[in-house]
Amino acid sequence: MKTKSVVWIVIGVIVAAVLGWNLMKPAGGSGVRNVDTAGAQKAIAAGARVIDVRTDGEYQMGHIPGAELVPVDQLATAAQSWDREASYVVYCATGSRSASAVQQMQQMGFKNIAHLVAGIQSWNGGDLQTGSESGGTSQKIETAGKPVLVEFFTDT
Amino acid sequence: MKPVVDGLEKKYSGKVEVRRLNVEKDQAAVELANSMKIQYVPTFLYVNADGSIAGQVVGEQTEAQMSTAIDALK
Repeated sequence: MKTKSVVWIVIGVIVAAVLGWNLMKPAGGSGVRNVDTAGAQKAIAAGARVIDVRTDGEYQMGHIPGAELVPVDQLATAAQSWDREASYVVYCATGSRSASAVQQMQQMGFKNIAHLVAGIQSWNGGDLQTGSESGGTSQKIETAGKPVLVEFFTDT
Repeated sequence: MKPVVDGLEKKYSGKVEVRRLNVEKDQAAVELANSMKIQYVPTFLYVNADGSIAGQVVGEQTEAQMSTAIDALK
């Protein structure tokens, strides 16, 4: 009888400690934060894993240094083995697919996600302000004898 | 950007060809983008009639900015 009581007391102490720890954790250290380029860079500098949820083709065209390619349709499977307590930066082209990815990660119990809310385009937007226009290159584009405006885009 | 490019296509109808390349769905677009070392979308290429590339601009632009660049094409 005495042994049982001791066991229950020990269990009670452990439960109280876990609950207390969760209540004491700083509020800012958990959940999803919508960030801009500066916020994402800060999270990356602090050691966050960077997850690019676009397609392979988009990833190859350019990604945030160190980003891991995990297309949004593969995220739920890939993320099963990831550390729920670790920090992540999640992005896509415009913020649409990454919003879905972030929602999935939240449901899976991930606690610290920085969502680059306007996508890699916003990352690039910062560059544009400092002058991203480049001069002509030596490569040529096939034309039908008149000037051409070429737009590279994505739907999402 | 679609309304801006639509407007430019109408404005320069018959004078300038507008090509829209979806790098998410079109493999040829991805290959061209890779060969041009294009890293982000949207990116615009301004191409002279002889095929030489007059400029490459990354990010959204106003119709006025794009018109200026198009008017400078030869």
